Amino acid sequence: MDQKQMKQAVKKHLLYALLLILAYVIQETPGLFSFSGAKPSLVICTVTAIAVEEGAFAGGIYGCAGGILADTAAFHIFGIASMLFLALGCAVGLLVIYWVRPGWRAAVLFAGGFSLIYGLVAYFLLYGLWGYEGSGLILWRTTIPGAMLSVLSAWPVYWLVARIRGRFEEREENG
Amino acid sequence: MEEFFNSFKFRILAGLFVLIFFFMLHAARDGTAVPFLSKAVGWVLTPAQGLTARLAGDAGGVIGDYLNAPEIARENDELRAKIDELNRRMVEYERFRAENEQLREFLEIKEKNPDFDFEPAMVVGRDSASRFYSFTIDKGSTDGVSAMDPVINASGLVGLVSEVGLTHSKVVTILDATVEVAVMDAATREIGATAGTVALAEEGKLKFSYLPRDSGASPGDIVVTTGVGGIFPREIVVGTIEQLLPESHGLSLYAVIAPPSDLRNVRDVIVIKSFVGKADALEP
Repeated sequence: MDQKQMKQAVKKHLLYALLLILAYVIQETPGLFSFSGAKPSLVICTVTAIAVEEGAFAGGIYGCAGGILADTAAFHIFGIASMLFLALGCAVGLLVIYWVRPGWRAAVLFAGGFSLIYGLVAYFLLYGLWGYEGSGLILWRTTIPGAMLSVLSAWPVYWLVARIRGRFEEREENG
Repeated sequence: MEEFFNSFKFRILAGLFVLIFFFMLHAARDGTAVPFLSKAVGWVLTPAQGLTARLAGDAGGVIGDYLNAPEIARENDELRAKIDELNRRMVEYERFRAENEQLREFLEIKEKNPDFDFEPAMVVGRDSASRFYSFTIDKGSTDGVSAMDPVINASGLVGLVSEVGLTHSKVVTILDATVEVAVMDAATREIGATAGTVALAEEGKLKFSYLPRDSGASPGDIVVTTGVGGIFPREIVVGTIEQLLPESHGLSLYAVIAPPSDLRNVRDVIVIKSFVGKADALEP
């Protein structure tokens, strides 16, 4: 990779990082995109989109970064989301390379699955493990609706990531 | 896929995974859920989150107004209905309060004059052409009111009933030139009669005539009814002497009397239907 290509790659990844931070900030804003207490996980949508477009390694790195952001806001022990997002981001990248065709369908599908897995893990650690009475309602009212909202949010996020990648690829081709 | 797992990139990811795992163990052992990395991220991103929270709040307020318009409209109607109900209660409350005050005054009068059979009434109309402030009350023959019944209020004498209908009556005040009341100075016991004049009526006052030239009456003396003639009960306050002046002919004096209440604006009165000493078959 020559210096120019390196510069372009750095710019591209800076944009991805900014997009991830923006997704986190919007996701954590009180009252925004909240429907009866359920919110989409825009960080997961962004990580999934980057994993679909850029592959397993980028998926793992951005998964780790997204997980650190999620851990900052969450009420469970720091590191759970980071490890999970790293693993899932990497897995999504691998699945897209070896099993599923890349595109918005894959991004939407994996965003829903990713969100559901994280939601179940978070539910287990915060409520299921402690056996709080009536905690099953959280699954029906927050976890599952959250995953569905993430599925709906995945397409616009994927579109943005795909646009960023497409723009830099164009510049690379044009020299 | 095997290629990937054997690659350097995978080793980097595995290394990160282990590093985070140790962070997690450290956080769990320390009992803190927020290691320095999380604090650093929070320090950097909190200002941005504050900004978006503010923007979201403002935008949410505007959007919320549109989205919640039907609910807001319904709440608006409910609140209007509540306000109307509260206003109605306020009016009722004021009425009860005024009625309560009036009844207290009636009780006082009744305690002082146990022989009075009286009917409380409200002024419901005033004759704008009358120079002597006659008025109409909301009680009539169905309430036991008769012509020539005296009319008082808590302060003193007001007038007498001149006409009676079924549910209303007309009252002429003591400011009227045609209404003469037999009175006396409570201090000197000097007797005379009051009547109104146009000039004095405009000031809400009346004239106490037939005082002797050597009268001992003086400003400040209370003037009360004598009960002579059977029209008005005795010892009802008519007013207070304001000044003593000679009559035009010079043979006697007269006093200008100020009634205890402003008869030009009286609103609640009492009609005395019967009392000890009332003359029978009076005609207006």
